Amino acid sequence: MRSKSTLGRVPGEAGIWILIFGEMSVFSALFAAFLYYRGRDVSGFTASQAQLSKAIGLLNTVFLLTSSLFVALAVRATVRMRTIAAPRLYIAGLTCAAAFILLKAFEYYTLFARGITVGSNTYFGFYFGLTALHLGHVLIGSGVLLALAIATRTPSSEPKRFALIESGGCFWHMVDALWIIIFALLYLVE
Amino acid sequence: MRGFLRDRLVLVWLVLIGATLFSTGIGGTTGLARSGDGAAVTAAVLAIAFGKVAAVIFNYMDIRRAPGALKILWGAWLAVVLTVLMGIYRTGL
Amino acid sequence: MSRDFSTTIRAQRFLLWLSLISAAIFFFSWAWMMGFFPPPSPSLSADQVVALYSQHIIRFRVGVVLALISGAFMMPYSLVVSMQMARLEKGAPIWAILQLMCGLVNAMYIWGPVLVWGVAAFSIDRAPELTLLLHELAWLSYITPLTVFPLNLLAIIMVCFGKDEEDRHSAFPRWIGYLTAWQAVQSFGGPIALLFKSGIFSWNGLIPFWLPLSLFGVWFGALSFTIFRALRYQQQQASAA
Repeated sequence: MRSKSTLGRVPGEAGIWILIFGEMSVFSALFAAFLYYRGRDVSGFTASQAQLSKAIGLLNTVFLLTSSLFVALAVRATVRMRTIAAPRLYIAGLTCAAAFILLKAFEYYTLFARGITVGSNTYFGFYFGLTALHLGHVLIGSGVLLALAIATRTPSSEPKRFALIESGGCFWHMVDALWIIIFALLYLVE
Repeated sequence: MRGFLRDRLVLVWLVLIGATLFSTGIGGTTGLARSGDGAAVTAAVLAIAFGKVAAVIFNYMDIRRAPGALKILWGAWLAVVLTVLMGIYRTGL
Repeated sequence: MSRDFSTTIRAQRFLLWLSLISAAIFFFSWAWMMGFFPPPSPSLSADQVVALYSQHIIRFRVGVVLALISGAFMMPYSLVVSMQMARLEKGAPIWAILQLMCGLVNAMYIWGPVLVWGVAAFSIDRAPELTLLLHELAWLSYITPLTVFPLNLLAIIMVCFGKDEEDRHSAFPRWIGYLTAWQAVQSFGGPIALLFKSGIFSWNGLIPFWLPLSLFGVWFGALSFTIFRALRYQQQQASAA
């Protein structure tokens, strides 16, 4: 006998997938543009890349990966009606997001202090453009996590409500996924 | 504690962290490429990055348990984007 | 239990049509008559900008006139959206009022810059730097102010996900909520144009211009569709009652 679980269930609801596919495609176009312009000035891009701290990039990646873990755990706690654990896990994710934001601000500060800004060259145009755009998503996502932390304090078995909560979680994972690629392109590409 | 480490979500996190440390080690201007093949290192870095994204999508976004169509869609999307990015990278070399 | 606005259904329909027709006229005037579609590059020099305007100066000026007449199309639109929101809200319609306030401010960012472009074209023989100044002022006002737009969209999102009505008759089905959320996320690309004079992040680039505009067009059309659909249903309900 086939159980329901073998048929698959759409996480969240269809609407969020339009958003996620859409946003990731938009960023992919930016990634493509970055690599295209890189191809036209490999030595310039490599020299500029050397100005960044791999350590900071790595730490930021760890922050976001960890935040994603917390959010995934939080969504699971939500479905299990854990009204104490779920909000705490969302807040834990939010804390990691805050750490990311602070570290990124510090990184910007160190670059500005060395006279490197958005107009310095094509590489840094992309660096600041991509990271600022991503930061906007981090800020929006943080708002979502806060809303989820508040909402999950009260238990509810309403499927539509859960669909929205799970969608919010997926949005956060998208923010994490985007950073994974941004980190690779800006810091690690040779 | 053992239960914690058997948790799929935690295991995925460990793999993600490990993959991140590895690619950070080999990549960038202070990585492996100083001694040789930058293109191969970059290919590895990009492939690992997309592997990580796949792990996030399939495990954290729970696409692993989604209907087949959505799984195929994501798999195809990831493959296409990775291929295109690799292609652009290589034509610039 | 929603508020009964059935006496205003004809007015809402009229205002929505008025908005759509004005939007079409506005786009025609701005895009073709003023020739700003696709947008000129932000890295043009003062002389190049003067040359750009001088090319079809009469057509440009007439385009400005038409754009100023049709440019307030978001006002009736915002009102209809708020009316539809208000009938769904319980108690004081706070989200509808917020949406209306923000919609009003947004509407000004559409025709306001057109006026400045018009001033630029008014005396095209002034010092080129002055024309460039007005040109840049208008373009950046048109593209970069984020200000109330996300708030505007947030209000709509609240109603999409908080309403007590079936999606298939509603002006605000959940998919509109997600589309609006996407629009809100994309809109953050606008302010970035203040930092770039060329490339993807500049006022004629992918992130501040093409994507937000395309998404706005899709959203504007989709929401018009669902509102018309909802008005039809509301009218049926009213005549059946």
